[in-house]
Amino acid sequence: MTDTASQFIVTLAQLNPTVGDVPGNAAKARQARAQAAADGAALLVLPELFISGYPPEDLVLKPAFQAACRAAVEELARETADGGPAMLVGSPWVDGGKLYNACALLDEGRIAAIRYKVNLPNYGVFDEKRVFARGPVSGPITIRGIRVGVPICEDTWMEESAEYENVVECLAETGAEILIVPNGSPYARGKNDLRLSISVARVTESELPLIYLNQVGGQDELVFDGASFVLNADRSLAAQLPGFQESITTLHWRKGEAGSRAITPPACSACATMCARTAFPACCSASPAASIRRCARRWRSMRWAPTASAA
Amino acid sequence: MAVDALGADRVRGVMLPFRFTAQVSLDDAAKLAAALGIRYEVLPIAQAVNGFEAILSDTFAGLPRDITEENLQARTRGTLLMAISNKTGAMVVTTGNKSEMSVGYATLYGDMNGGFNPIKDIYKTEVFRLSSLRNAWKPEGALGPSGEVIPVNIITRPPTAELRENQTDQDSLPPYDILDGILERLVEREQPLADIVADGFDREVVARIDRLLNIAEYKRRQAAPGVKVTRRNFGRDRRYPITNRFRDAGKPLPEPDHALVSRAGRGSAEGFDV
Repeated sequence: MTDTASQFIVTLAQLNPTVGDVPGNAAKARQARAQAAADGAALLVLPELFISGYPPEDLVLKPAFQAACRAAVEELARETADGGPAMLVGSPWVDGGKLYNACALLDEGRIAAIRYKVNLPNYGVFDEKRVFARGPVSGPITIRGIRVGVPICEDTWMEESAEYENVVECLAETGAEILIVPNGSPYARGKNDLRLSISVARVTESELPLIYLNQVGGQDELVFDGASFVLNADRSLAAQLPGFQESITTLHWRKGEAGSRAITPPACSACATMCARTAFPACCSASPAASIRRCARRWRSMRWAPTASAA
Repeated sequence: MAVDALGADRVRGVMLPFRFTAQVSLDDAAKLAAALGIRYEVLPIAQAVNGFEAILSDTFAGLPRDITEENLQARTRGTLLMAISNKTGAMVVTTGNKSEMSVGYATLYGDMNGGFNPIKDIYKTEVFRLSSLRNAWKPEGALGPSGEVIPVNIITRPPTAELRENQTDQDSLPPYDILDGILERLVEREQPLADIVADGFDREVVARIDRLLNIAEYKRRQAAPGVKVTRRNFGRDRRYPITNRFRDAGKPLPEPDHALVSRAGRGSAEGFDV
């Protein structure tokens, strides 16, 4: 096995929040963190605006709701004093009188970092410019020694233009080693291919691996299919989470020899051979036997087939 | 408003009485139609309501009579109005005011039927005031007659949906001046419940109105459009999710714990901690 410094264990919580149910959503985050802790993860990632539910529309303009979301994030932050996994969780956030679509890193009992969505989608079903202020472009966040770029959803969707900042390029240039992208991406036919091609483009440009985490569930006229996925820096599909169901999946990452920027799996020595052969290196590891079974199952159902969640 | 905008010859009034319709309502409606000079007809709905109830009698066997039967009256009226609209090409003007639309005091597929709602963004108390104003003054260019076009009794009589014996709106809602005061704070100012209570409104009433406002979103999403006149109307302005589990508990808002946020942790130009 590898030494701990070059290992990074991340739990992805592809969950179904309810808009407005702040205590309920926080409880789901808490539950997922317990699972992440059991899996030995350093970090739990939750989808975009998980605490409020997505999309909150004008509810997010209500001061009482903003305060409730913040209080819930603060409570979760205090709980991370237990030394367990850090948590990346989305929430509306008021800062300097402006409201942001934010993602907070909670670790060691504190709100260790907070990042704001830069590029706000305002087309189709989205009208985020209506309620959120555009965040500043910021650098990566250091999480347990790993420099993580957190572009939020739309921040990965567009090429640079007069209207769009190239957030991913900025993160890559300022030393990000991995991109973790929380999303609230509604289902539409063919959407999976679109998400994948956008993400592959960002991976190609940045040469960084990318975790695409989406929520599941319905909200009024939108339905969120989850179908989260993970791309290695070489653009191979490292993991594919199931569509239309909740899934908590833990992935082991290990720094490769190719360069200091890239974190490349595999982490699981027991099934490294099989993983290497199938170009499917990021794997979950519980017991070696379970890993082999899981990898074999994934190998059989590779590409878009649903995969089992982590033990 | 329809007569002022289109002229009396292009507006018709239809009275749809049932057994809970008071004689005074029939009298006031006839007076209003006469004052406006519009075509007016009375179509009693008993046959249709009784027909629906007969069809549903087995399905509803053993179930108590409740608001369902009240709404059936409104839906019967809605069906008849839409039939007239369909046959003649005339648009049904629907009349739920902002107070009613806020708390869901309107029947979906009943009196909410219609293509346009000119008073959708006007609170009930303002409807009264505007009615009195119109009786005393006619806007320039208005096509309706001058003088007292709205019988004063319609303005002064306690509001009632007349869906059951001796019903008034105040059976289930606070007085409109109080309701509108609460709604204006909730809808247009997004005030926390605690602040509204601090303004002197009853805590339980405020909480109940807030709940009604939230759960009526699914109705409003299906409502006819209307003119925006307030700072925040339903439709284009106040875009709330239908699925919304947030309820303001009415406690003072928690203060943010700024000490919890790491100093260098904010997303900003300083966020490049290379």
